[in-house]
Amino acid sequence: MELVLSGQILIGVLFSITLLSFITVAMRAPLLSLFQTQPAPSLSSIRMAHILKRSVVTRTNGGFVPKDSFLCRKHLFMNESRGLLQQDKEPSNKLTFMMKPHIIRKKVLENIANVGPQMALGAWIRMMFSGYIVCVLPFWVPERFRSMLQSGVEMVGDALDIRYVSGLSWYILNIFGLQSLLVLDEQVQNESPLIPDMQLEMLMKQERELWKGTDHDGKLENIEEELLREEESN
Amino acid sequence: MEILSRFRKCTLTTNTIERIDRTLEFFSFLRFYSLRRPALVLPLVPVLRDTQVDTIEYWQAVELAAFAAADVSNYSLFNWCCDKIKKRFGDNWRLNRLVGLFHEIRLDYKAAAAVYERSLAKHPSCPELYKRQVAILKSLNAYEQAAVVLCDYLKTFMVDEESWCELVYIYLHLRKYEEAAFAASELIILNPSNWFYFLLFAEIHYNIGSYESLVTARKYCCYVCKIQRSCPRVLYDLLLVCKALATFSQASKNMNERLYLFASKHLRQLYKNSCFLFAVEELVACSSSKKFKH
Repeated sequence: MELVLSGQILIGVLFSITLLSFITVAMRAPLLSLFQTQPAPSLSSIRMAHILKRSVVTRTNGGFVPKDSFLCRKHLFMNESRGLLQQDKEPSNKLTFMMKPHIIRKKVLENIANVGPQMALGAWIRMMFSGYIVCVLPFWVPERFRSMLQSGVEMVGDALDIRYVSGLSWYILNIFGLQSLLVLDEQVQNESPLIPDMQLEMLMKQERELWKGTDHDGKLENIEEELLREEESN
Repeated sequence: MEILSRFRKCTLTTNTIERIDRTLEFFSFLRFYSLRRPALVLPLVPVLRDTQVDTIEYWQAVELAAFAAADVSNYSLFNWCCDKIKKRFGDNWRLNRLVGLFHEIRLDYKAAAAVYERSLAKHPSCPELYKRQVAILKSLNAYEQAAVVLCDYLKTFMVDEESWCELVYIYLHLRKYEEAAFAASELIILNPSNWFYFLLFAEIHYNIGSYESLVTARKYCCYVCKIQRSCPRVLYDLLLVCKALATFSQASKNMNERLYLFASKHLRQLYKNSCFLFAVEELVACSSSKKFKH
């Protein structure tokens, strides 16, 4: 079935749905930042982070200090009973982490900020533009995409060409398509997929393994000879 | 010079918006280089008073104005800045630090310490407040206690380069060279691209004075010479270290002598066209030992 699309639909529906979807996606990050309250980091978590950083720099730049100084530090990190990297931590698992009230609150608010506006806009579009055909795709698509492209348009069988897109489907396509815009947002990018406590534990373990294979690589062993050789060659 | 030209740009601009921008830029410049110039900051305070913006640069500028007011004991301006910050951000550690600093400037260290103590109870993870406590102890000439507080602080904030540097100087003040050497080696590890830390480490080891320490000092002097040959301080350090090592029988005479010659040659070269050449000759002559027969 061939349909002639009105220019008014193009402007009034297609354009407005695109604009509203864009605003919804773009507003997600500022909305999230309203709900996000950064609790002050505890002293123990700061200490753990500093231990890790110090361990990494010591391992990397340890060659610049004398051997005894380096070995003393290696002992400081790797001592079996009191080493900085061996310190016993309270066993933390994902479940106990998720049970913390401020984490639950944060997750719920994040979900509300994520899904709430999209659901509200979706309901409004379903109510206002249900049954509207807003555009036609310039290429052929397989039949199984019909439910994705023509949701909200009830027609018997395949009376309507698959390439026609309904208002509600256009909205859903926009919401998913515009998600990649979020990549541009630094705040969303910085969201770590790992839980900080678990991440620290993992890094500590990794550091311990790396220390085992690290030896003093004296960078200043023959520096006097090097200096004099350089002087003679000049 | 740059600071003055930036200041002039702020004062000469007649356009209000441009003036605000220039002023905030000037304050950011002072902040970036940790400069305290009350004589330049105070004439620009009226710009801050007339401005109503809520940007981070503006509030940092207000904080700088408070520091400047405290420096010249301008109570009314200091109170204005504190009130403004309190109204916008409430009671926070930065405000407490300002109040504490104000007490410190008035030499009321007890009140300042109480302010920091109270604030630390609320914000235990704030490094600046610990550092102020150390500063108070130093002002009271309680260096031993300052070292203890700073060591406690460094047990948590282990990669704070500035604090390790401070610890080196506190230990040097206390003439605890072994401890100072440890802190200086930590500085080298944290920032090996800063050659001054290597020089500091070498000088501390020179002060320790044992054979092993002198050999270490010579190594580090040579490293600094290699990357920074135009530094007279390191060349003179190398002269002194070689001279000190020459008194030990186990030292390699050949290497020591060659390094001594290297240092004296480069020192002379550095001051070749300078009126201070005679002073360099004196220095070399003074540091030369009987064991080096020049």
